[in-house]
Amino acid sequence: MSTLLEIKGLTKKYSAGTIALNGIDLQVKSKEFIAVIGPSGAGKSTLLRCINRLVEPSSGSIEFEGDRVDQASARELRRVRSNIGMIFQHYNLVNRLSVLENVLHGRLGYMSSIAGMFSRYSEEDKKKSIALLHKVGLENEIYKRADELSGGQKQRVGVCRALAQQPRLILADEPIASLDPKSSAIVMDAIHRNCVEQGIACLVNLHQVEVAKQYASRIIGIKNGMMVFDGPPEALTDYYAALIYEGKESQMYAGGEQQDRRYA
Amino acid sequence: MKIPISHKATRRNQRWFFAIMIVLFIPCAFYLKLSYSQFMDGVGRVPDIVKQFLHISLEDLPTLLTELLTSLIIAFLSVIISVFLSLLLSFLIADSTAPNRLIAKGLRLIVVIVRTIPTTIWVLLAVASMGFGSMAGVLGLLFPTTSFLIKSFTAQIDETGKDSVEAIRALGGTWWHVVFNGAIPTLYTTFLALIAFNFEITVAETVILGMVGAGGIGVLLQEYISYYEFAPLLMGILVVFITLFILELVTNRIRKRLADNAR
Amino acid sequence: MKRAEMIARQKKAKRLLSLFLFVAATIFSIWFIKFDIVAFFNGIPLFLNFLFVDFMPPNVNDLAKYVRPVLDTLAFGVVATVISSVIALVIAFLMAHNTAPHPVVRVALRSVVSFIRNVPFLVWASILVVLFGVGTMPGIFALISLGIGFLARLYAESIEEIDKHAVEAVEATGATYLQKLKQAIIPQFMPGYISWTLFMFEITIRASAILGLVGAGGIGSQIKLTMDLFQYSKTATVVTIMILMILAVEYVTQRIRERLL
Repeated sequence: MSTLLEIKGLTKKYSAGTIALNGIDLQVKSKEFIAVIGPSGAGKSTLLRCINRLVEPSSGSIEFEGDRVDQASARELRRVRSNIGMIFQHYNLVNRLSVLENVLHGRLGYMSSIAGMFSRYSEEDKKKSIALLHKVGLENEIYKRADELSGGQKQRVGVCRALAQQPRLILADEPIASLDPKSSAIVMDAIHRNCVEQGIACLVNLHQVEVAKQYASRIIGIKNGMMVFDGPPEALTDYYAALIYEGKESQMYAGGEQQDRRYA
Repeated sequence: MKIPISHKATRRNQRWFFAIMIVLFIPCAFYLKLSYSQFMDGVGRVPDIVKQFLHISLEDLPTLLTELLTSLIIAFLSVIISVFLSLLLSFLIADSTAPNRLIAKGLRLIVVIVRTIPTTIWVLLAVASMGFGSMAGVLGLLFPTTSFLIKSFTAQIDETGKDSVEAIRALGGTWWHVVFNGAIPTLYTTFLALIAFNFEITVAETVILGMVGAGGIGVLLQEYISYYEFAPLLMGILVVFITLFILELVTNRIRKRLADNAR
Repeated sequence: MKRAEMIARQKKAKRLLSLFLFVAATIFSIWFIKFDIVAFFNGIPLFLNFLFVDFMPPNVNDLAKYVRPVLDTLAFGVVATVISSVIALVIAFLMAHNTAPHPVVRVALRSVVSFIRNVPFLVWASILVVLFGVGTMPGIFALISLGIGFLARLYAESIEEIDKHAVEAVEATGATYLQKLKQAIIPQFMPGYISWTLFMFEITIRASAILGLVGAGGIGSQIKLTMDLFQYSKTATVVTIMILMILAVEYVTQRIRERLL
C-alpha cells in the first residue's frame, strides 16, 4: 500500500495562545480506515481541518499524494481539496438548496469557476449523484429542500457530497456526535461501506471507543494535542483507553457528547 | 432531457420575484423619461461644485454649532413631552391594562393613522399653523414621536409586564396600583432603552425638518443650498454627520448597558 | 449591613443627581430656544382646530389631477428600489466580514456607506436639485442614495448572519470564491434580500413626501403646492391619498413576504 498522506511535526497555536496540536507525526496509507479518538478539546477537529487547511497550521509539513499542502498556492489548494472529501458534525448543508444540489457541490472543485457558479453540472455527474443518494436510501428525498430532512438524513446527504468528489481521502469530523444511536449506525455503515468499496482512505474523529473499534482498521489516540496511541483496534486495551480519556471517562461510551449535554 | 436539480418551489418563488422586479422596472424607467442630456449636464457640473465644496471655511462653525444645539433641544423637548403623553396613553391602550376596551380600540386606531402620516407632513402642518420656528418643530414632532413610543410601550406592557400586572390584579389592586407599582417598575429599563432609541431617530429627523421651517440647523443648511454657498454647506453636513454618528454610538452603548442591567 | 446602607445611599444620591441634571437640562432648553410654554399649549387646540376645521371636508374635485403624481411616486419607488438594490448588493458583498475580498476594501466601503446614510436625505435631495435642476432626476438619485445607504448596511448584516458551517463545507470541496458566493452564500441570503428590498420599496413611498418639498416631483409636491396656496381642503385629499398608498404598499409587500418566505 502506498503512502497517501504524510504529516510531520504538525503544530497549531491559536492566537489566544492555546496549543491545539503539538508536533503530530502521522502517515496514512491508501485504503486505511483510521479512527481518531480522544476527549473533546484534545485537538482532533483541528488535526482534520489542518489537513485541508480549513485551519492554517502554525508549523510542520503536510504532504498529500506527493504535494506539499502546507505550501500550496490557492489554486493548488483547491485541487488538493477536490481530492479530499469532508463530513461534518453539524452536516453543514446549504439549507435552502435541494438535496441533489447539495450533493453536486462535491463536483465544484472539478469545474471552472463560472460553470460552477451557474450550476452547469454534467448529466454524468447528476446521474452519479442520484445513484449515490439511492445507495444511502434517500431516493425519495432527492428534490426535497435540505432543511426538510431529519438529522440522520442530512448526514447521509453530507456523506454523499463527500463521495461525489470521488476523493482519495475522506475526513469525517465527529459524523455521529449529533445523532441518535440508530441513525449513527446507518451513517457509520454508509461511510465505512463506501470507503471500502471504492478504496478511499478515511480519517474519522470519534468520541466513542466502541464505535472506533467496530469499524476502524487502525486507531489513533490524541490527548492535549499529542498522539498518545497508534495501533490496530485489538491493541487498544482498556488500559490505553483509560489513559486517553483520563479525567473525561464519561465520553468514552456511545453518544458521549450527547450524554454530556443531557446531564450537564 | 436534462435532469433537473433544484428545489422547485424555492426556485419558482425566487424567479417570480426577480421577474416582477424586471417587468415593473422597465416600463417605470421609460415612464419617468430620464433624459440623458440632463444627466450629463448634471455630471458636468460636479467638478465645479466639488471645487466649491472644498473651500473649507471655519467661519460659520459657531453659528452652525448654536443651531445644532437648537436642533438637539427641539428633539429633547418633543421626546420629553411625548414620553409623558405616551406613558399615559399606553396604559389605556395595552390589552393587559386597558380600563375600557372600546376606548382602547379607538385610541389604537388613531395611533395607527398618526403613525402612517410621515413626520415631514406633521411638521409642515405645524409650521402652517404656528408659523416658522422651534415651537412648530416641537409640536410637529410630537405626533410621530408619541405614536412611536405608544406602539413600543404597549407592545412591551403586553409582552413582559403581564405577569406583574396579573399578580397585582389578583391581590385586588386598583388600576393606579397596577400601573405605578406593577408595570412601570418592571418595564423601567426597557422603556429607557426605547426612549434612547427614539431620541436618536428624532434628532436625525429634527435636522432634516429644520429645512422646512421647524428651526435648528436645517434652516441654515437650507439657506446655504438656496444661496449656493457650498463651503459652509460642507461644514454643516460634516457637523450633522459627526453628531448623528456619535449619537448612534452613545445610544448603542446605553442600550447595551441597560440590556446588561436588565439581565 | 453598613455596606448595604452605603450602597443604597449612593444609589439614592445618583438618582437625585440624574433627576437634578434632567430638570436643569429641561430648564436650560426652554430658556435657550425661548420656548413659550403658555403659547405652546394654547397652540395645541389651535392646531387641532386647524386640522379639523380648515382641512375638512377634503376637496375631491381634482382627483383626476392626482393620478399622475401617484403614478410618478410608484414609478420612482420601483426604479429607485431596483437600482439601489443592485448597487447595494455589490457593495454589501464587498463590505460583509465573511465575503469581503480585502479588509481595506471593507473598511473603506463601510465608511462611505455610513457617510451616505448619515447625511440627511433632504440634504441629498437639495444638492441633487442644484445639480440636475428641478424634475424627476434629482428625486430618483436622492432615493437611490437613500437606498444604497440603507440597503448596503442591512444586506451586509444579513450576509454576516448566515450559517458559516455550510460555507465551510463548500469551501472544503475545493470551490472557488465565486462558486462559494453563488452556491453557499447567496441561497441562504435570499430571504434577507427579498425582505429588505420590499421594505425599501415601502420607504421610498414615504420618502416621496419629503422629495416633493424640494421640487423633486411625486405626490409630495402636491402637498407643498396646495399648502402654499392655502388650499387646505385639497391638502387633506392629497394626504389621504398618500396614507392610502402607504397602507396599500405595506399590505402588498406583506403578502409577498408571506408567499415567498
